[in-house]
Amino acid sequence: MDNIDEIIYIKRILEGETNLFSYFLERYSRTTHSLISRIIPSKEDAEELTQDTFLKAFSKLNTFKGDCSFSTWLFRIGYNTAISATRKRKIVFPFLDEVQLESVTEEQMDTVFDDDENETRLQKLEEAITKLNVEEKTLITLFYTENKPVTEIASMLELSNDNVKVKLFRVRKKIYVLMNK
Amino acid sequence: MKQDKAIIKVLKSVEVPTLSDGFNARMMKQLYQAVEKKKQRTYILTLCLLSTVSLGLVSMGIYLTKDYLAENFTFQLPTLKMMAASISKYGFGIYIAFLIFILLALDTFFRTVWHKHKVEKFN
Repeated sequence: MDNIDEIIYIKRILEGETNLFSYFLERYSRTTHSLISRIIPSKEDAEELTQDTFLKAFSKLNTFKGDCSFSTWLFRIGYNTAISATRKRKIVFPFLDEVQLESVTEEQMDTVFDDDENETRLQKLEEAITKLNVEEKTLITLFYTENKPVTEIASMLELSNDNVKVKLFRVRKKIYVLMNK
Repeated sequence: MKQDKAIIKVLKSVEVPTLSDGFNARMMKQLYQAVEKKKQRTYILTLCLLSTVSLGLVSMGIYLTKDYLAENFTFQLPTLKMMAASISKYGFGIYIAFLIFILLALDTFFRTVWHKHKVEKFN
């Protein structure tokens, strides 16, 4: 089923055929939950946020214009829900000095990130990733795990393409610094 | 953009919890409840609005009736007085209406003829 069919389904749901929403649940609940789980570590919170995401999507269905795919639109809602949840719970993320980040070179990062055999380093890398904030985790999850192109990530997070690239570059630097702390 | 092998490996190794059983069914139940609540809310709002408007109209009616009855108001139909000048205007109006009627009749006649001609040609 493509985007046009999904738009037809949405139109029918808005006309009162609520049962058709089960198609979107069947198709996107697992992927949405998996993405939220990667951003929000608590299993219960991730499921609750997935639930909130679908409830919000259903109530805002009339605002879906079809200018992007339904999954992109849905994930944008999920991301914003996750961001609000972290703000409410006041989760504090480590702050890094800008000078420290700027001092990291491309070569240094390549040496560390290209080697996927060193177990100690991988463990440090895993720890560093857990210390990233929601936006940073979202960026690397979408880019590295979901293999989403920069344009789609930009659309999901409502950023420009260049902004996504810059942020991804900064996240790599931040991971490097956190690994060596 | 560069795809860093180590980051991919670490991210993919992280075990993602699965959704609990019956999540979709529970969600659908919640959605039906939300729809039902919305319908009820709309019904109550419509009812409130209708009641307010009806009450307003009834009170206005009572007020006006009371006011008119107090002054012994009698309802009268306006009398139509035909003046010489207005007669010519009425005549002109009737003439235009007659012309439109004739033109419409002609239009219908020609359309029927044209349609018949077309059907015969087709057969």
